[in-house]
Amino acid sequence: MKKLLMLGGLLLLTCTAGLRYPLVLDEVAGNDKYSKANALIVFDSTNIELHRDGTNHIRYHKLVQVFNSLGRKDFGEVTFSYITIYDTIKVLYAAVITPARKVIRVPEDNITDMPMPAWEGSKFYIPNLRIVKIVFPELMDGGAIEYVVESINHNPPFDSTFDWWELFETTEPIREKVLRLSLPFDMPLKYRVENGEISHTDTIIKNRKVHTWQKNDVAKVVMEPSMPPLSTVLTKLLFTCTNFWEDYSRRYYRMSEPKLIPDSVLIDKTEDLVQNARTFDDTVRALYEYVNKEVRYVETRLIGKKGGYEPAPVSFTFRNKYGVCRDKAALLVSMLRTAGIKKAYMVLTNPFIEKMAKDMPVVSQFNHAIVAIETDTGYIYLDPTVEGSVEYLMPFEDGKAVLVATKKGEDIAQTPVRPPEVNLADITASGELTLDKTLHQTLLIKGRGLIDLQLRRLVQMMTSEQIKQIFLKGLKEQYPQARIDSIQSSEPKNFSKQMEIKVFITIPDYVLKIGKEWHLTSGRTSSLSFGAQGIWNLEERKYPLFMGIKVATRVRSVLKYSKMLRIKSLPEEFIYDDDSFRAHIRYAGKNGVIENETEIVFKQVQYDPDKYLQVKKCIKKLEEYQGKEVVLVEK
Amino acid sequence: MMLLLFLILQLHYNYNPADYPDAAGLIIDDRVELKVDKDFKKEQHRIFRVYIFNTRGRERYADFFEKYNSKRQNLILLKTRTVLESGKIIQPEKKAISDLSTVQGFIAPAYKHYRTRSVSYSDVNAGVLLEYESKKTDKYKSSDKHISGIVVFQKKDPILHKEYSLRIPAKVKLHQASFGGVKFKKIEDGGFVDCCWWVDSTARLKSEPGMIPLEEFAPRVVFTNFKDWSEVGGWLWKKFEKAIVVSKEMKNSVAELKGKERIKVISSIYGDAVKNWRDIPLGVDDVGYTPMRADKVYKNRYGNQIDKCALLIALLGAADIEAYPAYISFSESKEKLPLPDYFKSVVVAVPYEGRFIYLDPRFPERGGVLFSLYGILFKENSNFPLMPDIVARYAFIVKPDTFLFSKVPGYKSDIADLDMDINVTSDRSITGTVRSRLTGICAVIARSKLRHKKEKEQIIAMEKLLGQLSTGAKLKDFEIKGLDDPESDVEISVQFECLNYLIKEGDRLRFVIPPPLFTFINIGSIFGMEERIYPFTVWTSYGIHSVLNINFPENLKVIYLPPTVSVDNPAARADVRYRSEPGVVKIEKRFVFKKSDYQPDEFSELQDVYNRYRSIEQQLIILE
Repeated sequence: MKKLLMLGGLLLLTCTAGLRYPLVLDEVAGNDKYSKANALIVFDSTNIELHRDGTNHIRYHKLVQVFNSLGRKDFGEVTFSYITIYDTIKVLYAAVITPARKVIRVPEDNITDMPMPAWEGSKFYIPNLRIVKIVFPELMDGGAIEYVVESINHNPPFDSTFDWWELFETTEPIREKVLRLSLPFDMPLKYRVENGEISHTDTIIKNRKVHTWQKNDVAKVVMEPSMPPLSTVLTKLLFTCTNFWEDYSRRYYRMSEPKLIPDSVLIDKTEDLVQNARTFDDTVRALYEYVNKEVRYVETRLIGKKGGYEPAPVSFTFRNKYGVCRDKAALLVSMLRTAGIKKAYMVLTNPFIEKMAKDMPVVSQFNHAIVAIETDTGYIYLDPTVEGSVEYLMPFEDGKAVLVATKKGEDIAQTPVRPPEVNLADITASGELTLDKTLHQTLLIKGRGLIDLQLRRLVQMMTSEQIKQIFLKGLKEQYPQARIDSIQSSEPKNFSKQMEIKVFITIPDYVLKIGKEWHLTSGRTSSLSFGAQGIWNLEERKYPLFMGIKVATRVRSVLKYSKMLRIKSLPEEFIYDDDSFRAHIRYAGKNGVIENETEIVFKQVQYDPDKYLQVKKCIKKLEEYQGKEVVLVEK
Repeated sequence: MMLLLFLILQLHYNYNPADYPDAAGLIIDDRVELKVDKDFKKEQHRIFRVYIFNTRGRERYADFFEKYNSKRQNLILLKTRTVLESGKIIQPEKKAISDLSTVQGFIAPAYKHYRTRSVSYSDVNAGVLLEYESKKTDKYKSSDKHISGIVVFQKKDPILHKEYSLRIPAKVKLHQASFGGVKFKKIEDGGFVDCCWWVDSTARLKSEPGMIPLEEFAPRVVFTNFKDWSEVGGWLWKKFEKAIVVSKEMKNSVAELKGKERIKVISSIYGDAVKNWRDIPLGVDDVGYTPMRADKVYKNRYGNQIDKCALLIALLGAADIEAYPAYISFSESKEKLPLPDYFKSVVVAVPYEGRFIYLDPRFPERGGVLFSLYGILFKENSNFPLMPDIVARYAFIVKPDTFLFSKVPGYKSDIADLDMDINVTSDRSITGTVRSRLTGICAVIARSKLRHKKEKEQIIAMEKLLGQLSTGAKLKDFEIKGLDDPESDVEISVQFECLNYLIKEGDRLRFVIPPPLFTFINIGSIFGMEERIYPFTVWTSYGIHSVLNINFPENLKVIYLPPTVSVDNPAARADVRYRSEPGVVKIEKRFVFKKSDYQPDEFSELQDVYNRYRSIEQQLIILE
């Protein structure tokens, strides 16, 4: 009887939800607090009902009022995705509320359930990843949308456990946001709030514990250019039913291990690749390069009980020469073990998250898989997914959270952090200034880390006319008559040699001649003109400025000039160096040669608001310095 | 014999990348055979074979796609395989062949039956051959007895053999024209006619920014069984007219406009429809020529371009104003073979004072259609805005019982007018005001970047834009008008200061002439090349005009002022004038693109004007 009453109450609540909220809309109407928004998220609730085996039901209920055409664009349609191996999505209720508070149910034709679309170049062609889309008709300024959507999970990615993370801020204001979790009362749960506060209560109803997190009157997030990933700066709730990271490490080990067994064809190939390897490094390098270069990135239908989490069998990946990160990582692990490097493991990571709390094992934060080799001095990490990367690990993966999957289980760790010079743009310019004011110059561009990768990908993925256009566009912005005579490059697939691009340039209008003076505009080359993007011009920031990587640029140039000229003036030396930024520019000239050495180093991956202001001042000074000239004068 | 055969196969499949510089692969065979039976049911047979040269080729071809309508068509794959250099054949994995939705189907539920068959090939690397063969058949016979198309015979990679063949009932009178060396033959076979077009050995299409559509210049064939333009017009009208349905609510919505001046009625209806009906970013290219019923569009409050045209025509009609669909082609089609395939866009034409006003119903939000553009505003179209892809193009206006060709007006005025007043202070700093008035592409881009940004967001956007002057340039105040009204100019006014803007070197101060701030357009973007091979477009002829007044302390003397520039040729015009008086320098600049479309040999003329306009001498003033 009690159950019936409860169910009835729940049903009543659900049915009247659509009737209750128009009243709320009247409450918010005309409220100045929301006048700066395109829409107001009046009510946003997520109700999770978790079962002991990890399966769950999640109910989303949202009511959003829109104020203008951008609000209508952002909320005129909503989409949900699900993977048929794990979930189903049902739309229980969808309606539009007009400004006059009439409720219009969304017709069935406006709710579609379809396979994901084939976006050109996306590399994800997964027919069992489906999209449910609701298109709200008759939505006008001042109107609102409401929906209740249920996700039913019948196969959790990790059995008998669950974790979740959710942001409690977004780019429109939120009046009320609630997340409710109901789970068996003896199932462990830990939670944590980062970057802000969220109120929490809990209660026990029958055999279940019900946790409620709620936040009201959340201001909209005002986006700034070059913000860090939102999940690292906005108010975030995380919770988990797993006690230790080691548990997930062991689970993922057990999930992947059966897939790592090579067949005879793979064994033969591995042996063939390492037959000339004399050292441990030779072996690792040979196998890494093979997986990096020969296995392309694409995802097709997800198969297997834990498809999308477990890697494909390595024999499958090897046979087809394609896979995504976990498949490529698995193949490399298998090949390393076959070659005798037994302590090679799968690793879960996220290239955008530095720290994951030790006491908060939330595995759903991971979105990438790499490889770790255990050595006496610690782990070596390798990422074979970044095609064209000579470095085993790309510098943007430095200092990121990793979970190595081993039999005994590992705690959360971090990849090592390397100095900025691991990303280095190394440019040598040698040129001659002729008496007709023309500069003939050779630019030799080399790099390390991400720069080397970009150079390789430029040559591999662009045609020669595209490469020429890229360089010429930058040159012509300053020197409209600039020409590129030719471009040479080394072989991008040869990882044993540093990648080089040589550009042969002629600039007929290089010199501004005033009387007998030859003015060479020294610093406003496109590669070093920071101001052009305006990223450093905000008066103040609330959020850090996210560079993504540390990077160093080194330019050495030698310019020969005619004996008919002499140096009138050279810019003085510029030096700035602190823990976040370094700039050093030096000129020297005599005997018909002007030499310049420039070094600019961004030492941090991101700059907190205070640091940003400090570096901004230096960038300003650097720009002023770049405006100075080399001046020659006719003898 | 077997060895010989094997060797022949080897030779057949071994192509030297050095013979095809910069190619990602070599398209060995690209064939489409379309059979139309007596009931106009269609069957298409497709063959595609490509030899991979390198990583770029692998990325381009290793995943293959073919679209179809799952409600109306069946698609069967006859052959999909990788042929290795050794001759070994590898079939794709079963799970690598899928049916996905199309982007159109994702964007609009009306197209949820559209599907993309995707095939991810196995073991693809340089030196392999990929083969694809399919058959696509109509499930039902078609009541539409029209056949037409434009087929382009050039791609990003070289082609050894490309063929398009059409088998049609003999009673169908087909007209065709081929261009750029495409060969043609026709054979009569019983009650059918086989038409075949082909090319052998086509060079790859190089990449150049701003190219005009390939259908305008690449090797191609155009075919049609439309008798004449009247038949095309009738066909288009038949598809459109059913959508012109006026509901009671629609009639009521325009009732209050009764008695008002005609132009005001048009403006009111247009403004309402454009702003209050959400854009679905699909064109006639994506979805065809049949709009949704106007009363449904009205009720739904959203629609794609042709849907919103139907809505506008219905509402205007309810207000007793004639209006018709106008299909837009890139170039003039009057003298060409009659077919609808030239038209990529549709707007509304309203007869007005002996000419037409064109109403473009698109007003997409940030990140929307095309370049997120909101319409070029100009008096030649009675101040109604048009997207840059419509301006100066060609309209085919369709009425119930007739049609006519018309030219959409070109844009003759400046689209950015900029005034800057700068005061140089004794400590090398500057303070100033920038006022820009934008129409055309500049207004379009300004709206896309600034519309609906709220106070703090606007400050951030403006600070970022001011950074083009110098890092550390401080925004003191600003005002923006006209973002929400597609019929207005966008006006921006900014006050700023910048410390240490002038560079001190000895006794001299160098003043870098600021770039055109807050115009949102970079005319230099098309000049990142030395020469061009293909025709190109700047979308619309336009000019940018700026006046700078720079006030200096009286103790400073100008010792270098850039020379005047005045250059005028058929492609473009540039004028830069300087006037120096004690304590002030006035600079007036104008750059005008005289045409919207250019031939490749005109690029050097354009370049010549630009080189003089932006030469190094023009970039600074020196004071002492």
